[in-house]
Amino acid sequence: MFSRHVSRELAAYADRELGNAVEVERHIGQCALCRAEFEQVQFGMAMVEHLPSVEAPAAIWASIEAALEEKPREKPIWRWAFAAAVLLTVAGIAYWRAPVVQWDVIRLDGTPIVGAKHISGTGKIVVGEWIRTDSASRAGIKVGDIGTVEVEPNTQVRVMAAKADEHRLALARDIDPRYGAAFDRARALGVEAIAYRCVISAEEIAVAGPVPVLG
Amino acid sequence: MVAHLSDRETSAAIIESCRLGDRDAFRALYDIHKDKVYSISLYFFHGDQAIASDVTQQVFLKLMTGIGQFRGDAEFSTWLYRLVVNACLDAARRQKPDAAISEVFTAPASQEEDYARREVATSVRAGVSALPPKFRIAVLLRHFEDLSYEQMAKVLHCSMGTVASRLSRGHKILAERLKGLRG
Repeated sequence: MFSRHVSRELAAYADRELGNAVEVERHIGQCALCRAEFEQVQFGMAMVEHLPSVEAPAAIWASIEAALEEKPREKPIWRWAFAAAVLLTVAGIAYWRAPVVQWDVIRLDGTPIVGAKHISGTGKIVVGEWIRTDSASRAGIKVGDIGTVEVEPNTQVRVMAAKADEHRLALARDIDPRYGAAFDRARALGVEAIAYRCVISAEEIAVAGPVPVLG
Repeated sequence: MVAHLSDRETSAAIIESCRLGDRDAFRALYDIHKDKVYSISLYFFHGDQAIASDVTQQVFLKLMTGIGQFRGDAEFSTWLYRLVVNACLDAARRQKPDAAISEVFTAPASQEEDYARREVATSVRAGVSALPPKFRIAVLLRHFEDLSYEQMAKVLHCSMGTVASRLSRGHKILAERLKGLRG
């Protein structure tokens, strides 16, 4: 026979996880306070049943894969709307060292990924970082005063930087040594590395002359 | 062959394949558990999809890199949800004090739900969000995953009595907050 209240055991009793359920039941029958609390616990449990399971966004798996793999997905789908000419992604070409420039990224739909982070409102992107969208997400990149680039669903975009007065290309191996090693292996197997200087304006990217690829 | 195995046997087979580095098996394991993990994280963080996505990603990355520790399916749920609890509580500690509840929650309610049921669901979400973190995670674990109190005790690093107490108090607080919905 209980001489104490059973408040702390009421959930276990409701869930049939209690070894001494008979005693708790007897007490509830005799104690108005515990009976009232048991009804509250039952009501609370019934209310929680109103919480539906939510499907995890597809972008989560994409971000897990990206974190597990050393390079971006093998078959990216490149689609984007240009409003400025400073965004450029070409597989196999290294990115230049550049001053740290950040652009605002705006979530338009879903949860796009900037770098390794999902954004729910706004974020920042720097040179070298990727934006990834899945089938349900879109993002906008505010490129300085030039305009906004919309990144459509199922798209991967990497921000790169180029300057018109560059006259040679070298890998930033200290930033991404694995990329440097992979680049060397590719060249050893016969992949040719070529680089061109570009003249960039708000209206166009114009390919200028070739520059040597160092190291 | 897989079609004739029980769910438990299938899970054990998938886990074993994951331990051997089978990426497809990991994807299968992810697909089995992703929605529950995401849902717990989402409701724990007041509907913040970005945080919930980050926590979910973290959990499965840790799972992938640490799955060699497992000896059998019996331990798997316990370990998985311990990762979930730790990730949620760690992220909560790093956060600023809770923002206004439900402001960022994009309701998963279907279009077929009538207004009254949507209001109830919204109130419940707000009520759960307002629970202290230790009660909130216990309530969400119990609701979304079929763990025994013994398993929950291992997940939450506490005694079964403490599990019972947190669930009792959590549901009681929730009931008090939602008393206006009682018929």
